[in-house]
Amino acid sequence: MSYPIFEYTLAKLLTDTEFLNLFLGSSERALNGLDLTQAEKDALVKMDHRELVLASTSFQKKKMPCKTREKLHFFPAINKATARFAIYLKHLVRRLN
Amino acid sequence: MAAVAVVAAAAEGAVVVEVKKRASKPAPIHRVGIGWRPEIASFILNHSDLIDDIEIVIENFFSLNRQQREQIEFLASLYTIHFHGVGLGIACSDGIPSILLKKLNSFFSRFPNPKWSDHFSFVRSGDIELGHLGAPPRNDHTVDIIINNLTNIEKELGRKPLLENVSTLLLPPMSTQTEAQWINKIVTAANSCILLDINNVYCNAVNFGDDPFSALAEYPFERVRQIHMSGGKWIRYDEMSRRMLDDHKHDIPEIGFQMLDFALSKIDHPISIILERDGNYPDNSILRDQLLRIHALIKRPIPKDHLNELSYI
Repeated sequence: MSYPIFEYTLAKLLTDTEFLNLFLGSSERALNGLDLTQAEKDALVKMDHRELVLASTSFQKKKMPCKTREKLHFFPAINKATARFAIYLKHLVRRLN
Repeated sequence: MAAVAVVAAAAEGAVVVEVKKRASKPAPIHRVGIGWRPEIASFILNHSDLIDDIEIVIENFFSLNRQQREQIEFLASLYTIHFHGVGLGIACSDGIPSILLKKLNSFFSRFPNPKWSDHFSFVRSGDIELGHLGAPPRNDHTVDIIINNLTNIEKELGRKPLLENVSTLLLPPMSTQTEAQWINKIVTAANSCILLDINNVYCNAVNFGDDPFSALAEYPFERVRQIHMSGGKWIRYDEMSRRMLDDHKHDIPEIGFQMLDFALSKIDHPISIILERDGNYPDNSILRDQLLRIHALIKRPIPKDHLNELSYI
């Protein structure tokens, strides 16, 4: 089983809208050239398209990290304006460097 | 072992019977906790009589500046802290990146005996970062991958995480086992323990045509050390049907409490039960009610201040 390639293909379907649309239009064309076994190709082709679209949409929505927001709001007492200004300064310094 | 003598006397001419009864094993004392979210910080700090444990998402505090460290230390002075990760990718075929292992090692070195959990998921593949928890195929190949990754983690960090079952909207292709069978194989071979997410069991059961209680019954309860409780919502699947999305933004459904009750009946050691809420925060009274419900299920005495608030029992 060429599992790393199978895993990569599944990850691509969940995160790459273009590839997903290609797969939904023609799974054969999308999987063409990928070093997958016939069993792996069959398993991917047999996936429920509606489930795949739902899962992919859910992944696209969840992918946006909230780290910046978390750093601002760890404790309600933190002054939001001060924290935002600090992050702005950090980005400015990075850009200047 | 205490002996209980029961003496029963009837009327005149009674026969006095003395029966020595072996005392039953004392019920385990479970802990109740909640996921730390800044939006409900004041609720958490004002209800410390209902909360034993706090769960913190590790990835939010990897950089751990002095202020964040002091804040975690402050919380640790009030509660037991559980560190919950979402980026390990225990099922990734590429293994766990060494830089991530170094970060985790450095993070955990700051805390004595840290409690750690992550998920039975893959989160990256090649140059793709999924940004969320992908449900891997449930077969012997991924069992081997996870065991191998767990072995490496234990070698590098000297500890293994509890692993949590994940919900999925897509039945993982190339699966040959049920989720519980797959998890059973992994934890038995790796001698590790699990974090049982009740709502994830429920979501996967209703989404793929299983009975939630039958699915739950397959889990290795002797290896459960923590339980997550949360709620999701129905989303449209097609014109005729729907799917349950585990978004952690809704109240625990009634069936969730029933499933928790079922799980607790199978567990005879202390565990921690964590309420997860990631958004759409309700009124404090609703959060409080959910915590009180968990307290009632684990048969802990309700703190005096909350006795008048019990509306659901």
